[in-house]
Amino acid sequence: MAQHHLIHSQPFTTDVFTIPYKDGYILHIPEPGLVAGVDAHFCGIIEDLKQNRPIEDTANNRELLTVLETLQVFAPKPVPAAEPPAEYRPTDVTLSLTSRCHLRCVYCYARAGDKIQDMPTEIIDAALYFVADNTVWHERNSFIVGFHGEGEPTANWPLFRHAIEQAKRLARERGLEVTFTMSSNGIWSPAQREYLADCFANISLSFDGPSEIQDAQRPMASGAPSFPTVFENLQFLESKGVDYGIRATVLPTGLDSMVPFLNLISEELECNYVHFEPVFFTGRGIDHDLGVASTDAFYQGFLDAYQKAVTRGGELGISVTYSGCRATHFSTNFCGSTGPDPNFFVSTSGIVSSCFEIIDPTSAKGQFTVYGRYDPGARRFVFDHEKLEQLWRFGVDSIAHCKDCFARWNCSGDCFARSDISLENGAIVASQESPRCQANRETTLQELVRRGLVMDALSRSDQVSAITDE
Amino acid sequence: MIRVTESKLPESQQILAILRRLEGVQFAGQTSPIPQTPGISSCNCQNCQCNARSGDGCGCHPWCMCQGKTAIDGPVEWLNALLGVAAALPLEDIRTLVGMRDKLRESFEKPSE
Repeated sequence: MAQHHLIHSQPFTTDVFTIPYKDGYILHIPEPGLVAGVDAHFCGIIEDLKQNRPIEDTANNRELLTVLETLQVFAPKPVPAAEPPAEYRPTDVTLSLTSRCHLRCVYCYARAGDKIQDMPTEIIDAALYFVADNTVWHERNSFIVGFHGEGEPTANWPLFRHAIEQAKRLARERGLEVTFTMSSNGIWSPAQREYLADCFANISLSFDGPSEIQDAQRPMASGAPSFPTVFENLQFLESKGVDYGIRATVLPTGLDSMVPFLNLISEELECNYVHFEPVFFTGRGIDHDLGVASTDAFYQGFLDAYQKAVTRGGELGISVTYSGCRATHFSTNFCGSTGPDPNFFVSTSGIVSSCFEIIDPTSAKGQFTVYGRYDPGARRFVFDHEKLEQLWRFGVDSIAHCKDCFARWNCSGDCFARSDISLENGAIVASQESPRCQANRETTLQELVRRGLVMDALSRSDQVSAITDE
Repeated sequence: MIRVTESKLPESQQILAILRRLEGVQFAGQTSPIPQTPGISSCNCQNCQCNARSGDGCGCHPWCMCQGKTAIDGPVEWLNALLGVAAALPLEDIRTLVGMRDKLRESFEKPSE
């Protein structure tokens, strides 16, 4: 008997991935964000469609085509804008106020505390005036002032207070709201934490683990333990109703402490969000022996420990994340260090960069991310619009080694500072996978499956379950 | 970190229901939650889905307003527990997960004294 076939000549206009998983496959369509568990036969049909091969004419396949058409995987996609905006007028700024720090973290990318440099108040004021005035120009009603960078933002307390009070004043005079964000080490005096609780709705705390981990990785400059102070300040934030998230850097010695850390948090704190990040080998991380015999082995160890932490976090009601695992993310850019809306990050010396970690304008990546500076003569910021345009055009589709990766719209090319990309005059001349890529793929796949399963379970009513069980 | 609403897919519930019925499909769901902050058209933060573009989750980016909090405050904590259960289940065992959904929801809403 002759077989009937459906001929479907339209190509997919969006990425459709089939990824081997356990005994079957995961169907992953990043846009509009669908994940399904399918068997080998179903996977074969998807591959046939991808290759424009005819598929068997069955009721099942006709329904599949209907589903795919409704998901708009064959529909033409909108063409993005070809040119960046003529003027650069950011409404948010991140200030790197100082390179001072109370701690001497063994992996600090900025080597904070080694050399002392503070941002002149003239630069702080110019940056705040700039974003406040831009907010008015855009007819928006709020702007954001963040603190991050080369050291602990609160370590030069008078400067920190100056920035906060100046931002409040500028907002008040213009009838605007100002929101403050900060990444901090959590070393504050009782008076300082009272002030912070008044100004900040939420704070990101770097806090690496139980005392033996925190004190070894993040000692005070004197070598004294930092755990007691940070822990007390976290409890204080909770008493004041300030939201906070914990970001923990993981070294090889800390892999086995991730789950105990979650247990500690569950028992002693109310925090329900913990971000684990494998250590980056930059700055002071290069100087110290961090116990990493092999980068690949370290990432494999992190992968195993992370999955255990995710499961334990689930049991405790704590969200556990890692920056390379972004199942819900769909973007051309990992963060504001590249892309159409670059970070307006100002270093202590007035250098403007899109990346908080790359502020040396002479480095290869710095030639790409540093796009402006404070001009003391003109008393204003000046920008290189060619560089802004390069940043504007940069996305994961610029990175050759990401081309066939199923996670490319999730991890979006990964952290620019960590990626293994070589640039010359702002153009990529070579790129290859970094040691993080495998960890990013595996954690993303696990997260996709978990989310797919849970979203499925959530939307099945008992009645639907009964039907599908038949 | 997970939201109940599946609004990004066109006619999502119906489409997903059809997809789940197809031969060879064990489960199907949507991965993308919806932005929470009114007026923000593009949300691509992995952490909170508010209006952020935070990179490595440190809350460093000025747009990262909630640092992971919003998305888990909006829905309920038992969803995290369900994610934990899903991590340990075989793919085809969606029925167990559906059963766990109701048990977890109940246990989180009525914590034991």
